[in-house]
Amino acid sequence: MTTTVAVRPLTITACGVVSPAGLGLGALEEALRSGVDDYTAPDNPFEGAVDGYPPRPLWAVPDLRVAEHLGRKGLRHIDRFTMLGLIACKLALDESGTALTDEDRADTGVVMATNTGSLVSMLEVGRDTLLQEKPYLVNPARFPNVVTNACTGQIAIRNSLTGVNVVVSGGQAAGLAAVRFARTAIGDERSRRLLVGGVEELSQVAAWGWHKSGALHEDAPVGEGSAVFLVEDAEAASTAGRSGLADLLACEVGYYGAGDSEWRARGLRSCVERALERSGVGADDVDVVSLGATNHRRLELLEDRVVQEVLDRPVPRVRVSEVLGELYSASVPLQIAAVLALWREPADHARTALVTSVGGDGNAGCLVVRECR
Amino acid sequence: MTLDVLQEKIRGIISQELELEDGELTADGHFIDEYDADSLSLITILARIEKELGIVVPQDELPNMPNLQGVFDVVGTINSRESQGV
Repeated sequence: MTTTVAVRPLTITACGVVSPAGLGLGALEEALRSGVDDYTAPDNPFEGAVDGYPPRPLWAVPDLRVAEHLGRKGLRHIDRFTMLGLIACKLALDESGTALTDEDRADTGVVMATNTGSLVSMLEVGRDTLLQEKPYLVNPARFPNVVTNACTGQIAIRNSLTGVNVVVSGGQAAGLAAVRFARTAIGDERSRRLLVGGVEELSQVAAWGWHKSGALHEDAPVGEGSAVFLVEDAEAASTAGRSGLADLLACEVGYYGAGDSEWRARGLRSCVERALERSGVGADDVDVVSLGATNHRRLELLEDRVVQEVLDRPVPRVRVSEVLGELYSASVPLQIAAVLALWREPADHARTALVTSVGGDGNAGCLVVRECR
Repeated sequence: MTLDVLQEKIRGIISQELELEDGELTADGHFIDEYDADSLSLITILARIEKELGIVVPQDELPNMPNLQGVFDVVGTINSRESQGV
Protein backbone atom coordinates (compact mmCIF):
# COMPACT_ATOMS: atom_id res chain seq x y z
CA MET A 1 0.00 0.00 0.00
CA THR A 2 1.29 3.44 -0.82
CA THR A 3 0.47 6.63 0.95
CA THR A 4 0.27 9.75 -1.16
CA VAL A 5 -0.25 13.30 -0.13
CA ALA A 6 -2.35 15.62 -2.27
CA VAL A 7 -0.45 18.60 -3.63
CA ARG A 8 -1.24 22.30 -3.51
CA PRO A 9 -1.61 23.32 -7.15
CA LEU A 10 0.24 26.24 -8.66
CA THR A 11 -1.61 28.42 -11.15
CA ILE A 12 -0.03 29.66 -14.36
CA THR A 13 -1.25 33.23 -14.76
CA ALA A 14 0.86 34.14 -17.78
CA CYS A 15 3.14 32.50 -20.28
CA GLY A 16 5.98 33.63 -22.56
CA VAL A 17 7.22 31.48 -25.43
CA VAL A 18 10.19 31.91 -27.77
CA SER A 19 10.59 29.04 -30.24
CA PRO A 20 11.53 28.19 -33.82
CA ALA A 21 7.81 28.72 -34.56
CA GLY A 22 8.13 32.38 -33.52
CA LEU A 23 7.19 34.39 -30.45
CA GLY A 24 4.15 33.64 -28.32
CA LEU A 25 1.61 30.86 -27.80
CA GLY A 26 -0.28 31.80 -30.96
CA ALA A 27 2.71 31.03 -33.17
CA LEU A 28 3.19 27.72 -31.36
CA GLU A 29 -0.48 26.80 -31.78
CA GLU A 30 -0.29 27.55 -35.49
CA ALA A 31 2.85 25.41 -35.80
CA LEU A 32 1.28 22.49 -33.94
CA ARG A 33 -1.89 22.62 -36.03
CA SER A 34 -0.47 23.27 -39.48
CA GLY A 35 3.30 22.99 -39.27
CA VAL A 36 5.95 25.59 -39.98
CA ASP A 37 6.47 26.57 -43.63
CA ASP A 38 9.99 27.80 -43.37
CA TYR A 39 12.42 27.19 -40.53
CA THR A 40 15.15 29.71 -39.78
CA ALA A 41 18.73 28.46 -40.02
CA PRO A 42 21.17 29.36 -37.24
CA ASP A 43 23.50 32.26 -37.90
CA ASN A 44 25.45 32.59 -34.70
CA PRO A 45 28.68 30.70 -35.18
CA PHE A 46 31.25 31.79 -32.63
CA GLU A 47 34.40 33.45 -33.87
CA GLY A 48 37.13 31.01 -34.80
CA ALA A 49 34.83 28.07 -35.40
CA VAL A 50 36.12 25.87 -38.16
CA ASP A 51 33.71 23.03 -38.51
CA GLY A 52 30.32 24.65 -38.85
CA TYR A 53 27.19 22.68 -38.00
CA PRO A 54 26.61 18.95 -38.48
CA PRO A 55 24.55 17.84 -41.48
CA ARG A 56 21.06 17.56 -39.95
CA PRO A 57 18.01 19.83 -39.69
CA LEU A 58 18.70 22.84 -37.44
CA TRP A 59 15.83 25.06 -36.38
CA ALA A 60 16.63 28.45 -34.87
CA VAL A 61 14.30 31.03 -33.37
CA PRO A 62 13.48 33.56 -36.11
CA ASP A 63 14.13 37.29 -35.70
CA LEU A 64 14.09 38.00 -31.96
CA ARG A 65 13.29 41.73 -32.37
CA VAL A 66 15.55 42.27 -29.37
CA ALA A 67 15.46 46.06 -29.28
CA GLU A 68 11.67 46.04 -29.45
CA HIS A 69 11.38 43.71 -26.46
CA LEU A 70 14.37 44.58 -24.33
CA GLY A 71 15.35 48.10 -25.36
CA ARG A 72 18.62 49.20 -26.86
CA LYS A 73 20.87 49.45 -23.83
CA GLY A 74 22.84 46.99 -21.78
CA LEU A 75 22.63 44.16 -24.31
CA ARG A 76 25.97 44.39 -26.07
CA HIS A 77 27.57 41.63 -24.05
CA ILE A 78 24.45 39.57 -23.37
CA ASP A 79 24.63 36.28 -25.27
CA ARG A 80 21.89 34.70 -27.34
CA PHE A 81 21.10 32.14 -24.68
CA THR A 82 20.30 34.80 -22.10
CA MET A 83 18.46 36.81 -24.75
CA LEU A 84 16.07 33.89 -25.39
CA GLY A 85 15.29 33.64 -21.66
CA LEU A 86 14.95 37.40 -21.21
CA ILE A 87 12.46 37.71 -24.05
CA ALA A 88 10.38 34.75 -22.87
CA CYS A 89 10.19 36.36 -19.40
CA LYS A 90 9.34 39.73 -20.88
CA LEU A 91 6.49 38.18 -22.88
CA ALA A 92 5.19 36.42 -19.74
CA LEU A 93 5.36 39.57 -17.61
CA ASP A 94 3.73 41.67 -20.34
CA GLU A 95 0.93 39.14 -20.72
CA SER A 96 0.18 39.08 -17.00
CA GLY A 97 -1.76 42.29 -17.60
CA THR A 98 -1.27 44.14 -14.37
CA ALA A 99 2.25 45.44 -13.94
CA LEU A 100 4.04 44.11 -10.88
CA THR A 101 4.54 46.67 -8.11
CA ASP A 102 7.93 47.09 -6.41
CA GLU A 103 6.60 45.00 -3.55
CA ASP A 104 5.48 42.25 -5.95
CA ARG A 105 8.89 42.23 -7.58
CA ALA A 106 10.64 41.80 -4.25
CA ASP A 107 8.56 38.67 -3.76
CA THR A 108 9.02 37.23 -7.26
CA GLY A 109 11.75 34.72 -8.07
CA VAL A 110 13.14 32.95 -11.11
CA VAL A 111 13.54 29.18 -11.59
CA MET A 112 14.98 28.09 -14.93
CA ALA A 113 15.76 24.65 -16.28
CA THR A 114 18.87 24.44 -18.40
CA ASN A 115 21.64 21.94 -18.58
CA THR A 116 24.78 24.05 -18.71
CA GLY A 117 23.92 27.60 -19.64
CA SER A 118 25.48 28.93 -22.84
CA LEU A 119 28.01 26.49 -24.28
CA VAL A 120 28.81 29.11 -26.93
CA SER A 121 29.90 31.65 -24.33
CA MET A 122 31.80 29.08 -22.30
CA LEU A 123 33.73 28.00 -25.36
CA GLU A 124 34.35 31.53 -26.60
CA VAL A 125 35.81 32.76 -23.32
CA GLY A 126 37.55 29.43 -22.71
CA ARG A 127 39.32 29.58 -26.07
CA ASP A 128 40.30 33.20 -25.52
CA THR A 129 41.94 32.38 -22.19
CA LEU A 130 44.19 29.95 -24.07
CA LEU A 131 44.77 31.88 -27.30
CA GLN A 132 45.00 35.59 -26.38
CA GLU A 133 48.40 37.13 -25.76
CA LYS A 134 47.57 38.78 -22.45
CA PRO A 135 45.02 37.97 -19.72
CA TYR A 136 43.32 41.35 -20.10
CA LEU A 137 42.71 40.70 -23.80
CA VAL A 138 40.15 38.08 -22.80
CA ASN A 139 37.05 40.25 -22.97
CA PRO A 140 36.02 40.74 -19.33
CA ALA A 141 32.54 41.87 -20.34
CA ARG A 142 31.80 38.42 -21.80
CA PHE A 143 32.90 36.61 -18.70
CA PRO A 144 29.60 36.78 -16.77
CA ASN A 145 28.00 34.77 -19.60
CA VAL A 146 29.99 31.64 -18.83
CA VAL A 147 28.27 30.80 -15.57
CA THR A 148 25.25 28.51 -15.61
CA ASN A 149 23.04 31.06 -13.89
CA ALA A 150 23.96 34.00 -16.17
CA CYS A 151 20.46 33.98 -17.67
CA THR A 152 18.50 33.77 -14.40
CA GLY A 153 20.72 36.50 -12.98
CA GLN A 154 20.01 38.81 -15.92
CA ILE A 155 16.28 38.08 -15.71
CA ALA A 156 16.30 39.10 -12.05
CA ILE A 157 18.52 42.17 -12.57
CA ARG A 158 16.64 43.55 -15.55
CA ASN A 159 13.21 42.99 -14.01
CA SER A 160 14.14 43.81 -10.38
CA LEU A 161 13.01 40.39 -9.19
CA THR A 162 14.65 39.76 -5.83
CA GLY A 163 12.99 36.47 -4.84
CA VAL A 164 14.76 33.10 -5.07
CA ASN A 165 16.94 32.77 -8.17
CA VAL A 166 17.67 29.24 -9.23
CA VAL A 167 18.95 27.13 -12.10
CA VAL A 168 17.85 23.52 -12.22
CA SER A 169 20.14 21.24 -14.22
CA GLY A 170 18.63 17.83 -14.72
CA GLY A 171 19.01 16.88 -18.35
CA GLN A 172 15.91 16.14 -20.37
CA ALA A 173 13.60 16.21 -17.33
CA ALA A 174 15.06 19.42 -15.83
CA GLY A 175 11.82 21.30 -16.45
CA LEU A 176 9.93 18.88 -14.22
CA ALA A 177 12.52 19.33 -11.47
CA ALA A 178 12.06 23.10 -11.90
CA VAL A 179 8.29 22.76 -11.37
CA ARG A 180 8.99 20.66 -8.25
CA PHE A 181 11.38 23.31 -7.01
CA ALA A 182 8.84 26.05 -7.67
CA ARG A 183 6.17 24.26 -5.67
CA THR A 184 8.51 23.81 -2.72
CA ALA A 185 9.69 27.42 -2.84
CA ILE A 186 6.14 28.76 -2.94
CA GLY A 187 4.91 26.20 -0.38
CA ASP A 188 7.67 27.24 2.01
CA GLU A 189 6.75 30.89 1.38
CA ARG A 190 10.22 31.67 0.07
CA SER A 191 8.60 33.47 -2.84
CA ARG A 192 5.01 34.37 -3.57
CA ARG A 193 5.35 34.34 -7.30
CA LEU A 194 7.86 32.70 -9.64
CA LEU A 195 8.86 32.82 -13.26
CA VAL A 196 9.38 29.12 -13.96
CA GLY A 197 10.61 27.74 -17.24
CA GLY A 198 13.62 26.70 -19.21
CA VAL A 199 15.93 27.74 -21.99
CA GLU A 200 18.36 26.12 -24.42
CA GLU A 201 20.14 27.67 -27.40
CA LEU A 202 21.05 26.11 -30.73
CA SER A 203 24.81 26.05 -31.16
CA GLN A 204 27.41 24.16 -33.11
CA VAL A 205 28.62 22.58 -29.90
CA ALA A 206 25.20 21.32 -28.85
CA ALA A 207 24.27 20.25 -32.37
CA TRP A 208 27.49 18.25 -32.72
CA GLY A 209 26.89 16.77 -29.28
CA TRP A 210 23.50 15.44 -30.37
CA HIS A 211 24.86 14.41 -33.75
CA LYS A 212 27.80 12.42 -32.42
CA SER A 213 25.96 10.90 -29.47
CA GLY A 214 23.56 9.03 -31.71
CA ALA A 215 20.87 9.65 -29.10
CA LEU A 216 18.43 11.03 -31.68
CA HIS A 217 17.08 9.53 -34.88
CA GLU A 218 19.31 10.38 -37.81
CA ASP A 219 17.20 13.15 -39.32
CA ALA A 220 15.82 14.52 -36.07
CA PRO A 221 16.07 18.32 -35.99
CA VAL A 222 17.85 20.20 -33.20
CA GLY A 223 16.06 23.35 -32.08
CA GLU A 224 16.22 26.01 -29.40
CA GLY A 225 13.87 28.10 -27.36
CA SER A 226 12.49 29.16 -24.05
CA ALA A 227 9.14 28.96 -22.33
CA VAL A 228 8.47 30.72 -19.05
CA PHE A 229 5.39 30.66 -16.85
CA LEU A 230 4.41 33.15 -14.18
CA VAL A 231 3.07 30.96 -11.36
CA GLU A 232 1.70 31.41 -7.86
CA ASP A 233 -0.20 29.36 -5.34
CA ALA A 234 -3.55 28.46 -6.93
CA GLU A 235 -5.59 29.33 -3.86
CA ALA A 236 -3.82 32.68 -3.45
CA ALA A 237 -4.47 33.52 -7.10
CA SER A 238 -8.12 32.61 -6.87
CA THR A 239 -8.59 34.55 -3.59
CA ALA A 240 -7.06 37.61 -5.24
CA GLY A 241 -9.32 37.14 -8.26
CA ARG A 242 -6.46 36.54 -10.66
CA SER A 243 -7.49 34.17 -13.41
CA GLY A 244 -5.16 31.47 -14.60
CA LEU A 245 -4.48 29.61 -17.82
CA ALA A 246 -3.89 26.26 -16.13
CA ASP A 247 -3.03 24.66 -12.82
CA LEU A 248 0.13 22.65 -12.30
CA LEU A 249 -0.97 19.66 -10.20
CA ALA A 250 1.32 16.90 -9.03
CA CYS A 251 4.80 16.64 -10.49
CA GLU A 252 6.82 13.51 -9.85
CA VAL A 253 10.41 13.15 -10.98
CA GLY A 254 13.18 10.70 -10.19
CA TYR A 255 16.43 9.11 -11.29
CA TYR A 256 16.20 5.56 -12.56
CA GLY A 257 19.70 4.70 -13.77
CA ALA A 258 21.17 5.32 -17.18
CA GLY A 259 21.60 1.74 -18.30
CA ASP A 260 18.66 -0.59 -17.83
CA SER A 261 15.71 0.48 -19.96
CA GLU A 262 13.25 -1.77 -18.13
CA TRP A 263 14.20 -0.13 -14.86
CA ARG A 264 13.66 3.27 -16.46
CA ALA A 265 10.27 2.22 -17.82
CA ARG A 266 9.24 1.15 -14.34
CA GLY A 267 10.52 4.46 -12.95
CA LEU A 268 8.56 6.49 -15.47
CA ARG A 269 5.44 4.38 -14.87
CA SER A 270 5.64 4.95 -11.14
CA CYS A 271 6.03 8.71 -11.72
CA VAL A 272 2.97 8.79 -13.98
CA GLU A 273 0.91 6.75 -11.51
CA ARG A 274 1.98 8.80 -8.49
CA ALA A 275 1.39 12.08 -10.33
CA LEU A 276 -2.15 11.02 -11.25
CA GLU A 277 -2.87 9.81 -7.73
CA ARG A 278 -1.47 12.87 -5.98
CA SER A 279 -3.45 15.08 -8.38
CA GLY A 280 -6.68 13.22 -7.68
CA VAL A 281 -6.97 12.61 -11.41
CA GLY A 282 -8.03 9.28 -12.86
CA ALA A 283 -6.52 7.76 -15.99
CA ASP A 284 -9.91 8.26 -17.65
CA ASP A 285 -9.75 12.02 -17.03
CA VAL A 286 -6.63 12.58 -19.15
CA ASP A 287 -7.41 14.40 -22.42
CA VAL A 288 -3.95 14.70 -23.89
CA VAL A 289 -0.36 13.59 -23.29
CA SER A 290 2.53 15.90 -24.15
CA LEU A 291 5.51 13.64 -24.81
CA GLY A 292 9.15 14.53 -24.25
CA ALA A 293 11.25 11.71 -25.68
CA THR A 294 10.14 12.28 -29.28
CA ASN A 295 12.96 11.49 -31.73
CA HIS A 296 15.06 9.84 -29.00
CA ARG A 297 16.06 6.35 -30.05
CA ARG A 298 14.47 3.68 -27.82
CA LEU A 299 13.23 6.19 -25.25
CA GLU A 300 10.55 7.41 -27.64
CA LEU A 301 8.95 3.97 -27.75
CA LEU A 302 9.52 3.39 -24.05
CA GLU A 303 7.73 6.62 -23.10
CA ASP A 304 4.81 5.94 -25.42
CA ARG A 305 4.45 2.37 -24.16
CA VAL A 306 4.43 3.41 -20.49
CA VAL A 307 1.79 6.07 -21.15
CA GLN A 308 -0.30 3.53 -23.04
CA GLU A 309 -0.03 0.98 -20.22
CA VAL A 310 -1.04 3.43 -17.49
CA LEU A 311 -3.91 5.08 -19.38
CA ASP A 312 -5.02 1.84 -21.05
CA ARG A 313 -6.85 3.63 -23.85
CA PRO A 314 -5.90 5.76 -26.86
CA VAL A 315 -5.34 9.34 -25.74
CA PRO A 316 -4.20 12.08 -28.16
CA ARG A 317 -0.46 12.72 -28.07
CA VAL A 318 1.34 16.02 -28.62
CA ARG A 319 4.94 15.82 -29.79
CA VAL A 320 6.24 19.36 -29.58
CA SER A 321 9.78 18.52 -30.67
CA GLU A 322 8.37 17.39 -34.02
CA VAL A 323 7.70 21.07 -34.75
CA LEU A 324 10.38 22.76 -32.62
CA GLY A 325 13.27 20.29 -32.79
CA GLU A 326 15.15 18.78 -29.88
CA LEU A 327 15.14 21.21 -26.94
CA TYR A 328 16.92 19.23 -24.21
CA SER A 329 16.38 20.93 -20.84
CA ALA A 330 13.88 23.37 -22.34
CA SER A 331 11.73 20.45 -23.55
CA VAL A 332 9.36 20.20 -20.59
CA PRO A 333 8.57 23.95 -20.51
CA LEU A 334 7.78 23.85 -24.22
CA GLN A 335 5.77 20.62 -23.77
CA ILE A 336 3.65 22.52 -21.22
CA ALA A 337 3.44 25.50 -23.57
CA ALA A 338 2.27 23.18 -26.37
CA VAL A 339 -0.64 22.03 -24.21
CA LEU A 340 -1.58 25.64 -23.40
CA ALA A 341 -1.29 26.53 -27.09
CA LEU A 342 -3.73 23.80 -28.10
CA TRP A 343 -6.08 24.76 -25.26
CA ARG A 344 -6.47 28.23 -26.77
CA GLU A 345 -9.28 26.62 -28.73
CA PRO A 346 -12.10 26.37 -26.18
CA ALA A 347 -13.66 23.06 -25.08
CA ASP A 348 -16.81 22.17 -23.19
CA HIS A 349 -14.94 20.98 -20.10
CA ALA A 350 -11.75 21.75 -18.15
CA ARG A 351 -9.12 19.59 -19.85
CA THR A 352 -6.31 17.62 -18.22
CA ALA A 353 -2.89 16.88 -19.67
CA LEU A 354 0.05 14.71 -18.75
CA VAL A 355 3.51 16.04 -19.48
CA THR A 356 6.04 13.22 -19.47
CA SER A 357 9.80 13.13 -19.78
CA VAL A 358 12.49 10.47 -19.85
CA GLY A 359 16.12 11.15 -20.69
CA GLY A 360 19.12 9.10 -21.69
CA ASP A 361 20.73 10.16 -18.40
CA GLY A 362 18.15 8.20 -16.38
CA ASN A 363 15.95 11.09 -15.26
CA ALA A 364 12.23 10.61 -15.74
CA GLY A 365 9.06 12.22 -14.53
CA CYS A 366 5.50 13.33 -15.09
CA LEU A 367 3.48 16.48 -14.46
CA VAL A 368 -0.31 16.81 -14.43
CA VAL A 369 -1.69 20.04 -15.89
CA ARG A 370 -5.35 21.04 -15.62
CA GLU A 371 -7.02 23.81 -17.55
CA CYS A 372 -8.49 26.64 -15.47
CA ARG A 373 -12.14 27.46 -16.06
CA MET B 1 47.32 54.70 -40.22
CA THR B 2 46.61 58.44 -40.35
CA LEU B 3 45.47 60.26 -37.25
CA ASP B 4 41.98 60.75 -38.72
CA VAL B 5 41.53 57.05 -39.42
CA LEU B 6 42.87 56.14 -36.00
CA GLN B 7 40.49 58.53 -34.27
CA GLU B 8 37.53 57.26 -36.30
CA LYS B 9 38.34 53.69 -35.26
CA ILE B 10 38.63 54.70 -31.60
CA ARG B 11 35.33 56.55 -31.81
CA GLY B 12 33.74 53.40 -33.29
CA ILE B 13 35.08 51.14 -30.54
CA ILE B 14 33.89 53.46 -27.78
CA SER B 15 30.46 53.96 -29.36
CA GLN B 16 30.02 50.21 -29.60
CA GLU B 17 31.16 49.46 -26.08
CA LEU B 18 29.00 52.21 -24.59
CA GLU B 19 26.08 51.27 -26.88
CA LEU B 20 25.73 54.74 -28.38
CA GLU B 21 24.05 55.78 -31.62
CA ASP B 22 26.05 57.43 -34.41
CA GLY B 23 26.79 61.03 -33.50
CA GLU B 24 25.85 60.58 -29.84
CA LEU B 25 29.45 60.47 -28.62
CA THR B 26 30.90 63.97 -28.28
CA ALA B 27 34.51 64.97 -27.68
CA ASP B 28 33.92 66.14 -24.12
CA GLY B 29 30.95 63.97 -23.02
CA HIS B 30 31.96 62.25 -19.78
CA PHE B 31 32.01 58.46 -20.23
CA ILE B 32 30.77 57.64 -16.75
CA ASP B 33 28.51 60.60 -15.99
CA GLU B 34 26.94 61.00 -19.41
CA TYR B 35 27.17 57.59 -21.06
CA ASP B 36 26.77 55.21 -18.10
CA ALA B 37 30.20 53.65 -18.58
CA ASP B 38 31.63 51.51 -15.79
CA SER B 39 35.14 50.26 -15.00
CA LEU B 40 34.47 47.05 -16.96
CA SER B 41 33.48 48.89 -20.14
CA LEU B 42 36.51 51.22 -19.87
CA ILE B 43 38.91 48.30 -19.50
CA THR B 44 37.21 46.59 -22.42
CA ILE B 45 37.82 49.72 -24.51
CA LEU B 46 41.54 49.68 -23.65
CA ALA B 47 41.76 45.98 -24.49
CA ARG B 48 40.10 46.54 -27.86
CA ILE B 49 42.40 49.47 -28.69
CA GLU B 50 45.36 47.18 -27.99
CA LYS B 51 43.89 44.16 -29.79
CA GLU B 52 42.52 45.96 -32.86
CA LEU B 53 44.81 48.95 -33.25
CA GLY B 54 48.01 47.58 -31.76
CA ILE B 55 48.39 50.49 -29.34
CA VAL B 56 49.12 49.50 -25.74
CA VAL B 57 47.52 51.96 -23.31
CA PRO B 58 48.53 51.33 -19.67
CA GLN B 59 45.56 51.06 -17.30
CA ASP B 60 46.99 53.83 -15.10
CA GLU B 61 46.21 56.23 -17.95
CA LEU B 62 42.48 55.68 -17.35
CA PRO B 63 42.11 58.78 -15.10
CA ASN B 64 43.41 60.88 -18.00
CA MET B 65 40.75 59.50 -20.30
CA PRO B 66 37.39 60.68 -18.91
CA ASN B 67 36.06 61.47 -22.40
CA LEU B 68 36.76 60.97 -26.09
CA GLN B 69 39.18 63.92 -26.25
CA GLY B 70 41.14 62.41 -23.34
CA VAL B 71 41.44 59.11 -25.20
CA PHE B 72 42.56 60.88 -28.38
CA ASP B 73 45.22 62.80 -26.40
CA VAL B 74 46.59 59.77 -24.56
CA VAL B 75 46.52 57.48 -27.58
CA GLY B 76 47.98 60.22 -29.78
CA THR B 77 50.90 60.71 -27.38
CA ILE B 78 51.63 56.99 -27.15
CA ASN B 79 51.28 56.55 -30.90
CA SER B 80 53.65 59.38 -31.81
CA ARG B 81 56.17 58.19 -29.19
CA GLU B 82 56.06 54.71 -30.72
CA SER B 83 56.29 55.92 -34.32
CA GLN B 84 59.36 58.00 -33.38
CA GLY B 85 60.87 54.83 -31.97
CA VAL B 86 61.23 56.36 -28.48
